[in-house]
Amino acid sequence: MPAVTQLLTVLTDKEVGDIYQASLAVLEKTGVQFEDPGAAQFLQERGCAFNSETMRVTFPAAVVEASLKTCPQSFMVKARNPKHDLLFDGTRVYFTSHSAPRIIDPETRQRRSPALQDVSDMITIIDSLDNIHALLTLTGELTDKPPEVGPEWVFAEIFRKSEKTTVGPAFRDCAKWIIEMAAVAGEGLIGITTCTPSLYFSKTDTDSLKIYAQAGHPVTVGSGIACGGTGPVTLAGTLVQQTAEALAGLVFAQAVKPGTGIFCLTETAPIDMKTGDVAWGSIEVGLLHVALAQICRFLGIQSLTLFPMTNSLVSDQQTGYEKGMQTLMMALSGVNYLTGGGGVYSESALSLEQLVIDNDIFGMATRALQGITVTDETLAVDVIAEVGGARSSYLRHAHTRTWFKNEMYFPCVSNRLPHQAWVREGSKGVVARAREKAHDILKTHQPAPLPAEAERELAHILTSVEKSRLEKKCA
Amino acid sequence: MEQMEIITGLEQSVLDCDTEGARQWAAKALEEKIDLMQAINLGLIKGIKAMGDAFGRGEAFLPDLILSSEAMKAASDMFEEALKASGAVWKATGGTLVIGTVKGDIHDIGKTLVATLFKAAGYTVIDLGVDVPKEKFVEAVVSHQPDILGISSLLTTSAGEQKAVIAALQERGLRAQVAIMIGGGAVTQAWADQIGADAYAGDAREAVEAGNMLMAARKERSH
Repeated sequence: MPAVTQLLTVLTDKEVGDIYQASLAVLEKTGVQFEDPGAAQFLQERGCAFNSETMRVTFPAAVVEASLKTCPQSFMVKARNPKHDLLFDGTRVYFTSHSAPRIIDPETRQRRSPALQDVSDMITIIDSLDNIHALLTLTGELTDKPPEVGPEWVFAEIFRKSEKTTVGPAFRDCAKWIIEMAAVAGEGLIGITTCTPSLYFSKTDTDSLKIYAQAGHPVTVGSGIACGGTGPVTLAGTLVQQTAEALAGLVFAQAVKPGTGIFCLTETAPIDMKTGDVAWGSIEVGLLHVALAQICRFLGIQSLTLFPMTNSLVSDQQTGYEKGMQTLMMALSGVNYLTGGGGVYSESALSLEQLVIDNDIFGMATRALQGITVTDETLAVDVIAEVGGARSSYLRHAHTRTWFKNEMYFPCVSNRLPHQAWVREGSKGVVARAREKAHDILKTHQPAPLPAEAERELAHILTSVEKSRLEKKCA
Repeated sequence: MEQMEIITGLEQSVLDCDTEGARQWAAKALEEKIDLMQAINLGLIKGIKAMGDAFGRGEAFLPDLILSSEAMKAASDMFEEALKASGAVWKATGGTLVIGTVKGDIHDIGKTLVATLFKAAGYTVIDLGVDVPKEKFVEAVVSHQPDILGISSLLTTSAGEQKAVIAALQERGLRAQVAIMIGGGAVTQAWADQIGADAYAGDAREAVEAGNMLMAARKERSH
């Protein structure tokens, strides 16, 4: 959804420039450590300096600036169904679901590891929700599949059960398999790779980045900093390090394949100095993301976040206000790709009902982003002339019926019933209503099936993955 | 033109909230001299009932319902006039409701919603509007002979007017001939009991349910 309203900002243009210059200074002076000497040498050949003792690569400002110039201003991530194609031109805001290793059991409400059926249920619900534009889902091992091939089973299920796009992970060595599966389904991907703060690139990440970029998929660069732990405690300092880490990845990606679409990803949040845990649901996350959107617009790249998130361990008011406030700040600032839908339990679990609730939060944020339409027709001077005055009602005017759906967002599970009707419906809170809605979706929603040929190819890929992993294990 | 085509046209105009279309189809119905009771029951009422059901399911919205009812009214006013001119008496199968918001209160939405859902349930509805003085309620009971009188008040300050309307009907000796239902934000079952209303409804859906129960009780008594 392109923004119509004025975007929210927290930094002046000068401050954005200062952060960029500071990140260039970090890249030039301190640089980034690479686990893989091959990747470091590759950058050395392209104008960076490499110290093979410290494994540090330093980046001259001119190299960074030249790499920024080859980043595309816009690109598309294609979906199986074109209505779910995602266009990244710097002005759009998309919402997706969260990625987590565990699930909140729909019956017992306990956190547990998922089986393939849980993954399938999640995908079915996400596929049906209008305000969730793409999907991430369960990432961990499945209780009913060999641990060596859990992620590939999850992805095969995504391609089978949803027409919406997904992202490809960097973990293990699944990138090449996921790319094959996406090709079978006729879908594009976003390759998720990150720097490990502070200022370290693992071989897994440089390898995956290379694979995704070479296959023509856009990639994420960036990091998840714990402010005060793996980065400076000051938000400005964190932004400097995060930008430096992203730019290092960007230079690498443009060296691998100029023109690769780039997202700056963050999973950055402060450390809670009382517990040492990460303050996932904090308001500072909101501030950091408004800044992220500003910095990315300045750099001419897309912004992507693994938020909104909460520290609450149940679906309660804290979940609602933390995720709601973060979502609104991120959306109004123009962050291009938000995840987080359905995430609960300090980002470690997915909940069916939270997906349904977040779909409403995302819908409200989308509406806020659309702003107020001002035209002759919406100014309604003629309508006011016809209706205005005591004992009159605009409800009877055709103008109302023509415009109300355009002007107002209708939440799916928020209560708007007055007392009597609410009591008649069982006096339920939003979590109970969302749970019922999730069950309804599972009963009624039929995701569009893949063609039989594609199904067979997916099954074939899964067999190949299994074979290759088990061989490796034996070796 | 076929009778069925006209009836379907009327139904569709109501579903489409198309007041102009409803008028045109009504004119055709009069021109072709088709059975007006059928045009009303199988055309207009069928349309508004479908819209009311869609509203109940959350698929249609308040403006749809109200404009659909306006389209119905445009056609039914023309039919009523023709029936009157021919000396026939038209009475809908579901009974007659007179409804209004009391004097001192200009709240329209809840009352209009109740009126519309009654139409959707097959009632003939006479909507007196808002800020209606008690004398007007009394006159309407005399002239329309309704089965049910609905008196709405959103404001606490104007709820006393509901009591005054009932007292005025008693004074004129009309109280026994009409069932009285009250509703609105300021109103409770306790208040209904206190002022001697026959029914109280907390929202529009309950109002129609209560109306149907009042009708059933009246029919039983008249047998």
